[in-house]
Amino acid sequence: MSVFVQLSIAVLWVLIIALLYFVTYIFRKSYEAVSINQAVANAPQHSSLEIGDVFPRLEMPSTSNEIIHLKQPAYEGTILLVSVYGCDGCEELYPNINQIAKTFSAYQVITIIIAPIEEVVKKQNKYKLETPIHQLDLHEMRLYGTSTFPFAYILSPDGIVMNKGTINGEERIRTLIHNDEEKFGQLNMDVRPQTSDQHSLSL
Amino acid sequence: MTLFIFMRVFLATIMIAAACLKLLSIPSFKRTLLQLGIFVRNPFIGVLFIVGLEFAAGILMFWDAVHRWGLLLNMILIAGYCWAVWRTVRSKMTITCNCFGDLMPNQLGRKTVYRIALLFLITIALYWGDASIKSTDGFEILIAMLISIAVIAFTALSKSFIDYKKIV
Repeated sequence: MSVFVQLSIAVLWVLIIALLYFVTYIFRKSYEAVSINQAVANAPQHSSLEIGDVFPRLEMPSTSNEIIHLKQPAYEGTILLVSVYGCDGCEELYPNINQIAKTFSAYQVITIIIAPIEEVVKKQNKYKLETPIHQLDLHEMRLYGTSTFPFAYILSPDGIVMNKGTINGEERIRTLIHNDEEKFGQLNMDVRPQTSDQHSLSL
Repeated sequence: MTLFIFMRVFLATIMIAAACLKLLSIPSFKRTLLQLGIFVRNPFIGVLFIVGLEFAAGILMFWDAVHRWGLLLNMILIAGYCWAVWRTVRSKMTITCNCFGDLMPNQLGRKTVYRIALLFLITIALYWGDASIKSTDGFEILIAMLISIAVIAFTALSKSFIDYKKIV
């Protein structure tokens, strides 16, 4: 068999393998996209989390297996940044998270990423995220009362929602923080005492 | 090329491909180790240990003089895979193993046993059927390797297609 024929056969097999890889990639990505859409459609909607409510979970596990405490008397409060897999706005937020944590150092900054754990680890490594990260699976998407992303909650040191809203960067967070007292005041400080049952979400 | 030589190249290629693909998806494989409760303190060491064993098993099988050591390593790895499946079934957990990378996520369970059984049968067959790889044409070995990689890729494609068809 001539060298040319041998080379042709080898190249042919390499092309077959490449083709199989590309088609597999397309199917896998399509599967992920459809899964996300179905998760969004089927996700249980938690009754909206209003300003003045106690945040449903005051302790949550981080990706490094540590417990994140949202009751933090040592800080002025907590900034919760909520993002989801496949959201373009969230992709723009990730590179700024470390800077946000530095700018608002008086607050505890926590990132909640709703995505498969592999994707969360990828984001953490890609953007070298230094803030504690809490991961949620896609079917838990609306667990924290929002279906728009990226979203932020400003919590008091006691874990009470002071303000909330969609965000696009530092400025919007600053606005949320500055307006929180004003908004909170409009509620006449009507913070209902919460039972322990209300701390866990009912789906 | 005899059937035994092809099986040897096939097994060696599978081991090397599994090791390479694990290296490409270290975070997800680390998570699998954590879920299984092994190498909890330093899962990265666990990844290196398992990937090193798979590489060694694959490479040793290409040398006639030491290929039995490669088969022995294979048996150790197969025993490890069986233990992982047993632990998963017993604990009733859902553990996804990206044993062949992120493009082929598999849930450890009874279905995994069939693949492990195939590897076990090939390994046993190679213990009994002794054939020299040295006398085989290099081009034939290359084509056998490419066919083996194509088989893995086709398996990944089939799984992706079936998963996709289930939800659309």
